[in-house]
Amino acid sequence: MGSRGHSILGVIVCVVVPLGSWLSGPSPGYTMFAGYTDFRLECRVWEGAEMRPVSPTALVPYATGYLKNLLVMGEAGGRVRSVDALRTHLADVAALACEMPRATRIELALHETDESGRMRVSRSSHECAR
Amino acid sequence: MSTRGLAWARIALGLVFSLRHTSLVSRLPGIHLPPEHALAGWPEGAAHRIAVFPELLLSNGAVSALCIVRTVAGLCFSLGAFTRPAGIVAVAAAYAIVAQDPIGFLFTTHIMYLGILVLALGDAGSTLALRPVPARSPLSSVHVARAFVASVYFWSAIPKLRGAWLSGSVLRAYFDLGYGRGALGSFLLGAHARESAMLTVAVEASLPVLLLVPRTRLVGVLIACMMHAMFELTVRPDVLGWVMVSLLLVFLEPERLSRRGSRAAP
Repeated sequence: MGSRGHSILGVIVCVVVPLGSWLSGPSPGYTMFAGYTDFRLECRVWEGAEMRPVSPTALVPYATGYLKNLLVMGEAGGRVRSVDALRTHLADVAALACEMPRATRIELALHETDESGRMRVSRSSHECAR
Repeated sequence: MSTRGLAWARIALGLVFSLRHTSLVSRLPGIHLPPEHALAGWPEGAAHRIAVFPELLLSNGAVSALCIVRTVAGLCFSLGAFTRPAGIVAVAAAYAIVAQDPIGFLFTTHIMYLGILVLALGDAGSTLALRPVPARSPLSSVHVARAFVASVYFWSAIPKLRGAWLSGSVLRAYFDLGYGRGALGSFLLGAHARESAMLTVAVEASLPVLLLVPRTRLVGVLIACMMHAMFELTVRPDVLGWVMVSLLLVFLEPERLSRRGSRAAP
């Protein structure tokens, strides 16, 4: 790669990529330890016409990776660096929760409070194919 | 311009990359989501994965193969065997595996992957390598690597320019989570969280200038190393310190140091 290619590479890694993180996070750049979020996850499962709240821990057997940690913390609430990715994939988590026996519909609510005290609630529901 | 600094950074960062993705790293404190299997990201039986996009959801066999490819390519990159393709393949495999668990995304590994890509696309394989490849554009290779490291500090300071960070409340929150280790940790994150927060932003914001101006470069490298040593002694932010110290090697200029040494000799 010549100097022209390196210039393009420099613009991409030094400007475009860090700015792009703004699309999913609270600010551009590498946020790492710059903030934190207190969060709580509510899960409601419909079995036909009957609805019951369940602990997010009940979803752990169907989950992988870091999601398992968040689900374990989810009911009581926890403090983590960020739940931006969980919020983005809340619909996927609801779809995953359909693995629970007899579930016909899943409703999830993610309650967040950031380090500035701003509150945010995100909801997602999924109809399970039975 | 010498590419030795790039080669040292390649060796060090390649080793950190390879180790970070094995269970060996689990023994280190402060590791976020330590690997449950021998290789990080190895699929967990029949459990469902949530990919960053549904189209990127790979089979368990494909993810396992990528884990092996990432490890082999990372080691080849570090050793300087087929440096450029090895680095590109290692980073591509690493991002493909990260895409299988976007909820576990970590900026530290993201910076590490970008660093490997910058070195792989530069002339980091032209020296201290098993299969050295002649340098094509050493000057721009060094410049882009240095600009990347400086930009990491700049973009780390930006999200901290907020009231919650500057007041010290974020550091105090991490202290409450058990991050501050020992007497130094409780001093910096507890009693003097505000001062520590202000100092961190001031150092991170000034490092790009210190590192990019030739006269202050060595001072910048020393300050950056001291800051990472302090982070390791207190919060231990995964392998961030190891990644950044590896990348800081691109600022070393052995020819300038040896010139100074010969001038100082009687």
